[in-house]
Amino acid sequence: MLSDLEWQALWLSIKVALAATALNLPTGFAVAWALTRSAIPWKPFWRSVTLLPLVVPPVVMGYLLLLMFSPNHSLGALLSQVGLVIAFNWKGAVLASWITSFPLMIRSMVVAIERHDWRLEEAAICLGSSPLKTFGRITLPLLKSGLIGGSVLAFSRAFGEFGATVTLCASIPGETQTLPLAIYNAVQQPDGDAAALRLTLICAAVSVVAVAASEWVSGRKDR
Amino acid sequence: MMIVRFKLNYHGFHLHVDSHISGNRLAVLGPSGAGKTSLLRTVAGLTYPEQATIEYRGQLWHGGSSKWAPHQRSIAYVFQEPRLFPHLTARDNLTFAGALDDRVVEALGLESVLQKLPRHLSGGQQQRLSIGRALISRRRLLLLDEPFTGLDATHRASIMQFIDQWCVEHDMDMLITTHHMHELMYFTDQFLVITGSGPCFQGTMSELINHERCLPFLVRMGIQNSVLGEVIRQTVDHMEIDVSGQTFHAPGHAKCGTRMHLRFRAEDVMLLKGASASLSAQNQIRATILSIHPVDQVVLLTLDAGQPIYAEITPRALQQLKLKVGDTVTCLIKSTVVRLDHSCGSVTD
Repeated sequence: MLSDLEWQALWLSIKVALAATALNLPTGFAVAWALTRSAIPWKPFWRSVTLLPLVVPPVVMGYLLLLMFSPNHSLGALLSQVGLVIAFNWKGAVLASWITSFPLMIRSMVVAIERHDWRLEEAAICLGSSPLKTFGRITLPLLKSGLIGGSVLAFSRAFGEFGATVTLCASIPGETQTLPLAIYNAVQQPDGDAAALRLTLICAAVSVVAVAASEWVSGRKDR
Repeated sequence: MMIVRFKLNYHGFHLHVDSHISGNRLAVLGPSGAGKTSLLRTVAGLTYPEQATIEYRGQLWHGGSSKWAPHQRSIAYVFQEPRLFPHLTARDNLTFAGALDDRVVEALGLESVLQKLPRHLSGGQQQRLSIGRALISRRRLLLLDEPFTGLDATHRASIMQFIDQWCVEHDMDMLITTHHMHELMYFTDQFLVITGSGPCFQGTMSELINHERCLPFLVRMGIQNSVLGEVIRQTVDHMEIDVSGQTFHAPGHAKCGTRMHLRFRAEDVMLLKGASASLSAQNQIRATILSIHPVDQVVLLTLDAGQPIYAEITPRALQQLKLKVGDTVTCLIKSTVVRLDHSCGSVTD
């Protein structure tokens, strides 16, 4: 049904999107927390900064990343010395997806944290619960829907990431060619219509599964 | 022993409390906005006012360089609103605080709702659950902020009795605020009156009534009498209770020898000068007038009947009866207005 390269593209896309989401969860949570609960100055300014990846064209984002992480530049050279190659590597695809989906995670988390009733934490610590226990048993479970919502959005955005990835990593089949890049590649071929349609249907199916899974997980609390 | 000493200046709101509490219970009285909740929050460690000192049983919780976090202080706080954890069942809300205790569940009437989430409970059930959670924590100092709001009268009395019993058994101290003086008197005879911008007063009811600036406030709250008696005879439907050599009659049952507090409002006491007529009022207590305080539109009299009794009458009644300090009068109190409390924490001499 699918060729080996198409399978590889599908698997790579899932891997990249999952890795980007996994990176987004702690970083998005920490930044959203800083933007809402901390006492940092110029919060509105920092909020705008975190939204930049959403408004800057993905190609521009990819080009900026390429400038930073190309082996010819200082940061990229430094990282390649410790064995971490970003440009023209699937790890670059993870970085590009992570950064472009980051604002979606932040927005979900900020809304969840702002809506949260913090008086419950007061109630918990005033019953002798340590800050760690309070966070684990009260805060985190109650922010769950925000975390799940943000994760689904971030996953979907990362799964569909095109512009930044193709600029930073190019479209190397079996190496950095994710599903969207494979679709684009197929469309460019004279007889690629069938392949493009196949991959498009798979893309849609993965998105539907992601949304359904999140609905199921967040629905479980309503017993 | 608890020492609460703090000055709070916050958005134009000033509170100055300097209080040494020798007993193990203290009732905080004050009009809305006077700072009752601020006081409780400071004791809990939820606010850290400057110049504050909170010392509890030899531990300096707050003051100088010492600043204990709320969970390090041995407190259990019942807030004005239930603040239940919405994602946990009633049972999990209780066990979050400590080991489940069947007596708490039963006394607070929570048996049938243990598996339910808070949003499926009625307002009264939620409040009872929040009280139960604090009791189950078995911490040293129970902070109760208007804990009985939203509880219906039938549950209220039995819940107050259970809280009292539980606190005695588990050696829990108590800092409580409510708008109802009789609820406070059920637990303690030690009061801290916060008047807002003015000074604070502390002491028993008879001590507070002697503070001229405190008295108007107490009258507005509705002064309650509280006398200690012992059941001396029980008939089919009523009992006779000896109070400093005079007999009170009250409907109900209790074993002979049972000691209890009799509570009634100062405004429910009528005064009779001269010969007694045929009256329906069952309790006719002889007393001597100790002092007369005109307050706002009423006159408060302190009487000695072996134990102090307060009576509130109008200035017109005072004039007509020509009452003065030293006169002997009869206090008329209907049995139906006398509330009997068997609380163990407050029956002390």
